Amino acid sequence: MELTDLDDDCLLSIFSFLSPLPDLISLSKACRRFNCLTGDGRMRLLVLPSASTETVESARQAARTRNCRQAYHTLKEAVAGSRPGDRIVLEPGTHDVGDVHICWPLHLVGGGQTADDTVLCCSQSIDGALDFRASGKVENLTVHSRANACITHRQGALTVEGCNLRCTGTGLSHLFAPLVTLATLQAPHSRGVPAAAGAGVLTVVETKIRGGLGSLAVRTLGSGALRCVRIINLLRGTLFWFKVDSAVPAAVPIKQEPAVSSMPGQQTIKQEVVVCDAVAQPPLQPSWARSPASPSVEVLEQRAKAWHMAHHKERVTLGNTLGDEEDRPSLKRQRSS
Amino acid sequence: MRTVILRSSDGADHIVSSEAASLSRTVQSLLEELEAKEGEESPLIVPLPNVCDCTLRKVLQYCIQHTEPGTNLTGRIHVSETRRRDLEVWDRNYMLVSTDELYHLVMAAHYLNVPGLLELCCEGIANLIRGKSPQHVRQHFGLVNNFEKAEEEDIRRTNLWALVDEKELAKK
Repeated sequence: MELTDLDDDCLLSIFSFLSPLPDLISLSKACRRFNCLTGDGRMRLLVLPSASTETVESARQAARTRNCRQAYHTLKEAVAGSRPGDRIVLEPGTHDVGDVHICWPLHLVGGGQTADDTVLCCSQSIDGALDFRASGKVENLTVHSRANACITHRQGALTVEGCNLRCTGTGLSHLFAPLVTLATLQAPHSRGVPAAAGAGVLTVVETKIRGGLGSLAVRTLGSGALRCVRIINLLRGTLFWFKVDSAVPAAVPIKQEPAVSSMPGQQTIKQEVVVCDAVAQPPLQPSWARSPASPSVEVLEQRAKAWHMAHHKERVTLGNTLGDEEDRPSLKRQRSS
Repeated sequence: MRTVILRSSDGADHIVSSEAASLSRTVQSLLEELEAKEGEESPLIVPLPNVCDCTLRKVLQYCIQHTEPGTNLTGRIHVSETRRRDLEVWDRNYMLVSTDELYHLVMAAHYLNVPGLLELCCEGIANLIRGKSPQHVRQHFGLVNNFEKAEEEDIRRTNLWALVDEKELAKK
């Protein structure tokens, strides 16, 4: 008898003893049947929408009827009861969240047809509605925050795909943004206390971000800079694609300038690059400008020419060929005369 | 205490107490039906066509061990505590079987619906799988890689979000 001779129910109960990361992912790559089983609905965790009756018994009842490994009433409980790599499905409806700290890789998915069906409402939070301290993926969800950031990213590779982020805080609206990334390469350790942020990549794919007038879409407080920005203005909202990698800082520091400004009347996306001491780069300027004794004009010209030769080889060679062609008619003229 | 007869697929009879047999929920529900049909007096014979003789013997070992007097002891705490520890040690020794036997046990435990035994066996098999790479799993369990290129790429992409950390760790 082999492992594959067991029926699906037996295999599923065996798989439920394994951690999704890395064992179930290894299994899913082994063969087609295991791939189907590991992606089965019975391996996921379910979060029920906020309701008046929230008891352990009702959650257990729901788990029995709804094809899942376990059911919870709040996202916080589900995260606490999850294992690294688990998929947490949020049922369509409204969920109250706030300060959900995610410390191991998790995949949060909205169970509805569109992102609007599943709404995470956050009315009070200190660190943001969802606080990612590990890799993760957020898919098909609407996060509506009235108090702080919708998603705070501190560490790991976080992907936000097909989501709807809304930030409608009252008061100091310039202080918070729907997305905040704190990921930084040089994590400042202070007196043995673990750092609040580490290396990470934030990837946003096809996500609607809405905020107040002139508010930020993403606040980059780490070492990374905004890259690969793509925007589509739709009638209702704006779709964003972008990436912030803590390992790729901005080449030229941008100071309080809108990197990409959308249509007037809609939100603009600004970039704040706070250059840390450890990451601080020398200002970009040619080497001769920094030397104390200023050289003569001739030397400067020579250096400029050499620099041009080095940096624009094609243009220089092109210019030479053009120059030759220009010279030729004059030569002909000389000959004819 | 009443005794029942469990008949395996190859016709061998096993006589056990009804208490031990009732650890299996399948047998329990069958017994209730039989009692209602045939009354209290007649001998109760439960046919189990999906379980072979040697596996049933092994399952019954577990059932008898776990229903021995002492498990339901409501006396002093330290007695039940030592009993629990003894059972754990017994379970560990009980699981020292060949892989083939383990698979048969899982199937039987699933069919007979013995929650404790099922959990024990599943954990045993999960321990065999744990920590193996896809190639290693294939080699160890005799699986054939029946993926197409596109499917493999698809799986890689769906799992990409979780594997970034792993790659970084591998680099270190």
